[in-house]
Amino acid sequence: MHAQPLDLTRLWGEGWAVTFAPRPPAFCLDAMGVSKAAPLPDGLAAFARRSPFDGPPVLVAAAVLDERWSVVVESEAQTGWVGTHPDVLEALAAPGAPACTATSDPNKVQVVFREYGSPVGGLEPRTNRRWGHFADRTRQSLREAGFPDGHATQEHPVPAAPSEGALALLAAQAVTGTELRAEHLQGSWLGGLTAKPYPTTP
Amino acid sequence: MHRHRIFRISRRAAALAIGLTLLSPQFAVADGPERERTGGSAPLLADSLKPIKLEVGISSAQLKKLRERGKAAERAGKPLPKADVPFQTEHRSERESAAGRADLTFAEAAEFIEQDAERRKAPMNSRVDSYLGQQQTVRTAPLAEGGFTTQATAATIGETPSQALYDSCMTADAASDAGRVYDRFTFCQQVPITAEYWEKDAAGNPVDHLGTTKATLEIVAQGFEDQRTMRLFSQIKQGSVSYDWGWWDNIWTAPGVPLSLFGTCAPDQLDCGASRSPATLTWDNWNNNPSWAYWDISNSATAGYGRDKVMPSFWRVEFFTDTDEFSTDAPGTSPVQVIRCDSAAYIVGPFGADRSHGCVFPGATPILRYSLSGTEAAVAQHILGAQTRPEYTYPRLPAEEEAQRDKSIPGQAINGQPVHYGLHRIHSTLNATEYQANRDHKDGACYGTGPQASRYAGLGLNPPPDTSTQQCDEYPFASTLEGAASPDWDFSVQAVPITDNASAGGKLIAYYNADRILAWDATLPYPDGSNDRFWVEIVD
Repeated sequence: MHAQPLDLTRLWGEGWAVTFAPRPPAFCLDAMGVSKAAPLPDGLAAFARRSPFDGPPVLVAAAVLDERWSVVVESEAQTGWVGTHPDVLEALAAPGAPACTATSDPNKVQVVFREYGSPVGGLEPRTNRRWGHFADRTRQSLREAGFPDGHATQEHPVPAAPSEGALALLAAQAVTGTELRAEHLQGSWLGGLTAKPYPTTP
Repeated sequence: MHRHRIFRISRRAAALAIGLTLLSPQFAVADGPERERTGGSAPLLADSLKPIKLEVGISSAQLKKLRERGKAAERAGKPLPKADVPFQTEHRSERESAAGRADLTFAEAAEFIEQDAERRKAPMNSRVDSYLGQQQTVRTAPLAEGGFTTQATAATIGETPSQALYDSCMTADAASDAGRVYDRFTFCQQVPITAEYWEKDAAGNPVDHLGTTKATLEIVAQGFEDQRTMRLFSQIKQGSVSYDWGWWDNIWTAPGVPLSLFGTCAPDQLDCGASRSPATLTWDNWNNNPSWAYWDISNSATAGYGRDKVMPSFWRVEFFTDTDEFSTDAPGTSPVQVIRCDSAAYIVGPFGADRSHGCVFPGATPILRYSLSGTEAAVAQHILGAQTRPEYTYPRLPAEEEAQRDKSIPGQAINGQPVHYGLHRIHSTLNATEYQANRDHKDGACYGTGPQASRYAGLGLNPPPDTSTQQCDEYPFASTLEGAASPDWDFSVQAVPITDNASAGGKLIAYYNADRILAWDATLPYPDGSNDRFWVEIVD
């Protein structure tokens, strides 16, 4: 039984992206196109000083989750979520440890991930519609988190959650075997601006 | 069998809906608070605008004093002295308290807003008229000069309106009874005022008409985006004062008479409070060295309606001369205007920045703009096609239905003007049922999956999106009541590049928060009319 994930929709509203990667924060930001990363003195509050119509470049911030994993957050998607770019996920994934990004906007909440050396896989957590590559280990992890193998139905529902955003985080945590807790949000963050375009080839 | 789209909005509800969304929005970014005086560059008022009248009595003794003071100034060759009262204080005396009575119902408030729409009326696209059964004409004001650029957050609010905001807002449209709703957070107005002065005897009876003073009253109002408060600014326009008291009194008496401006809640209105005292200067000072006075108009969440504690505040500027020596028989009042405040917890800034309370002018027409040349270009192209050529979109209508009618897809705006029904935002958590239904229909029409898959067999998107590079875009948005599951409207799905779809989604959330678009609340009185609507305009 998994612990109830953070409800980022309640905390941050309907627009955010969270990436889990088995890499250090500076590596993550570099892979996401940040050329000059620097500590954010007041952490995620740095985002509050930006207009929702800022960007590109957009602000991204990364922090340590544990000795192996980092978390990267975004709140500006004027040019799309950088954490969903296939080349970013490819760069962030490591052998036996996928990189995974959960995103939310008013129209859709999705989780995309990439196993090391494999194509991108994705799912919509509310319906459990899936696409792309799912390794057996990933399917099993999602199953253990309460997600059915196929499209969600009344007989085979997705886990109960306070929002689809929370469900997305549950799925992302299941895929990566990590956990984002409230105290992580209050810790030290490294941040920088990026204008990385979506790759022309997936 | 395909769903039947039935037009279900009653005329009454449609009329109320129209009342809540009135004017073309003009978005601009103000450059923060400025201390210098603003004004002076605005157009002159149209002669046809009826002035607002004020009648003031002056005691014979005070008149004598005024004229003696004028003679002294004339002899000394000095200007008339300033009014011997403070310009404005934080204190609001009991007489001036404007805590309104809560005896106006929400329905009456909605009717007021509807009537307000009529004041701002202008012909609308005939297609909308036809949807309203040729009975109800949707009204909106003409697009003001200046065009549009992009959505913007609310301007910074200081102790005076910024010159940039003043210059942008105070165009010819502002010189009207309705004023100009510049955007969701800004209103401005110029109105002519006329003050009639009478000499009164000891018993208070008018004995002689002394003269008439005319001027232009200026009003700027800004809604806060982090509290249930609106800041109301007012002054007399510089150089606008003229006197008709006789040649000597025009120079030495009339300019020395004081005038007070007072921002206040309108009487008999919903829970409303206002701060600060009247602002008083002589006519001469207002004319030559005006200062913006300001008041904060607020209402509380406690009395608000529905999930988001929605509550309008009705407000106006009164002007009068009330001292021991002067008596205002009939104060002047600017036309009553309305602002709507809410406590929507889901309106947030980046990473939880507090935007959970705010006030907007419901007379602004909220419009989301996507660009055919922006990072969301493919989505913009899809929406344009859906709005203008819906018969070519997926899902197809069943053959027997297609022979009867074309698809009809709402939400279009052109040049800042709605030309179809507006969209109502829904929230993934607060409106989970409707949101899920939209998702199910979209999945059925786009991917042939989910519980609605059979409904769209042979009619859905063909081929479906290549999920390695594409996503399924739907219009009207999944986050609208008019989305794929709506029984009243058709919809369109199209495969678009992932990055365009993500960019469009990012701009949508920024827009929802910046324009404070509230999510559908069925518990509001007259929900069809009183919930927020918005439109989508595709630009180059």
